[in-house]
Amino acid sequence: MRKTADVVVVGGGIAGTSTAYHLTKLGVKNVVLVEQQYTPFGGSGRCAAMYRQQFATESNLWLAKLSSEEYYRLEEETGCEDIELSKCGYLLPAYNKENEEQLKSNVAIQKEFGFDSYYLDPKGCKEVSPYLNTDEIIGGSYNTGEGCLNPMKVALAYKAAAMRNGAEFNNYTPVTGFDVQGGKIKGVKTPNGDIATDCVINAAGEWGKFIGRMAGVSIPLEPEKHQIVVTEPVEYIKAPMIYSLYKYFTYIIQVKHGGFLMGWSDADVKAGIIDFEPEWKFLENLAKRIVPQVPALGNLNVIRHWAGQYGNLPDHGILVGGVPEVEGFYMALGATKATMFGPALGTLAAEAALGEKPSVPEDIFQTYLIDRFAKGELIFDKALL
Amino acid sequence: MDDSKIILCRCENVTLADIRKLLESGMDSMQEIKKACRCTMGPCQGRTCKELVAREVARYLHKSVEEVDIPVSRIPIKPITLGQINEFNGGV
Repeated sequence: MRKTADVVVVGGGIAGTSTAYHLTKLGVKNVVLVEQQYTPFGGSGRCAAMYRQQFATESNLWLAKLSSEEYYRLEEETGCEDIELSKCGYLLPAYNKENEEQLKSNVAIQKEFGFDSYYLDPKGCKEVSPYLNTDEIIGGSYNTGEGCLNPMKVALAYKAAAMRNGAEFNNYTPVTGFDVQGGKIKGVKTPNGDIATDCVINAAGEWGKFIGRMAGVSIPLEPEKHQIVVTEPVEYIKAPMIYSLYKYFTYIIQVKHGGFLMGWSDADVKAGIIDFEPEWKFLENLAKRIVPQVPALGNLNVIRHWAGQYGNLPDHGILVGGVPEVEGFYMALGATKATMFGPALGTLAAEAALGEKPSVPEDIFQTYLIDRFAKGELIFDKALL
Repeated sequence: MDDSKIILCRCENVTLADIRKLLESGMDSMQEIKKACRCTMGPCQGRTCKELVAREVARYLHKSVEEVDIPVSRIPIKPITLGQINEFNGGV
C-alpha cells in the first residue's frame, strides 16, 4: 500500500469508486482508495439497481441529468463490456385525484427541465407495464430516460478505469483513525499502514457519519435499514419499475438479467444502526403487497433475501465539499441514492475537493453543501418516499 | 481440457476460463469475482458451485480455501414463492 497520497478516498461503493475515477480524470496522479471489505460491499451492492429522472426539485433534477448522461456513455468511457442498462423507466401509479395532481405537477417540472416524462391513463400504464394490475389505479407518471442497470458492474467499472488511470485500491483496509494537526487533515490510519495526505474524501455511505466522527467532524447522516429480495431469472420483458409511492410503499423491477427485485419500505424500521440481517416479517409483508399489484409474481421463486442500508441525510439529498471543523476533509455522501446519483456524486465531490468550477449552476451547488443544515435551508423532494 | 468448456457455475453458465480471466485481470476477491460474473448468484445460490469457485480462486492466489473471502449464504434455504407465503398466511 502507498505511504502517501494526493487524495485518499474512503469507501469502495459507487460513490467512492466514481469519486476516485473523476479525480483521476481531473488529473490527480496519486489517488488511494481504502475500502473496509470489497467493491461494492455496502448499499451499492445491495440496492434496487435503478437510476432515476422523476424528481421534483432542481437540486435532484441536476444530479439526475449528470448521472443519466454519464451512465449512457459509461461503457465507452470505462471500457466495461456491459453495465446492463435498460431505459425501462419508473411507473408511479396514482390511486386518487390527489396523487394524480401531485404526479402531473412533477411531470410538468421534469418536462420543463428537459426530461421525457409523461402522465399516462390506465390504458397507457398497461401498455408500458403489461403485467401490472391496473384495476385500482387511475393513471401514473412515466419517463423514458431513466431505468435499471447493474450497480455491481458500475462500481467495478469505475474501479477498473480509475486503476488504469493510476489510482490504487485497497480492499479489506478499514479506516481506524485520522491524523489531524492544527485543524488540518494530515493522514489516514489503517491496520495495513498509515497514508500521509492533505486531502481525504469521505465516501463511506451509510458509515459516513462514523468516519466523520473519527476526524472530529459531525455529519447529520443516519443509516436506515431496507430489505430486498430477488427471484429466479425469467425472460426479460422491458417494463418500468412499479414504484408504489402512495399505497403499498413497494417497488417491483425486472432487471435486464431476468430476476425481479422487490422491496417494501417499513415505516417502523430502526434507524441509526447498521444491520444486514434479513427478517421473515418483511417477506410476509412483501407477499401481501406485491401479489395484488402483479398477480403473476406470486408464482416466481424468491431465491435470495438480504438487507442494506440507506445513509440518509435529513433532506435525503447529497453532501459534497468541505466541513467547518477540519481543513482538507471533504464529502461524497448521499447514500440514500448513491447508485442513481453515483456519476454526479463523484463528479461534484472531485470538483469540490480540487476547488474546480462545479458541473452544475452555482446556486444549485450550494444546496449540496454542509452549511445548509446549520442554516436550516433544506429542500424536500415531493417525488420521494 | 479446454477451460472454456469446464462449467463451474451451472445456473449462470460461468466457466473456469471466465473465472481465470477475472483473476488474471488482477481481481483477488471472490466477492468481487461474484459481483463481476454472477457466479453463485443463480437459483442454486452457490450450493453446487461456491466451493468449486473458491478452490479455483485459492489455487490461483496460492492461498488456502479458508483465506478466500467466500460470499455468505442467505435465506430462503430453499426457493419459495410469494404466493406460498400468502397461502401460508391464509391470504389472497
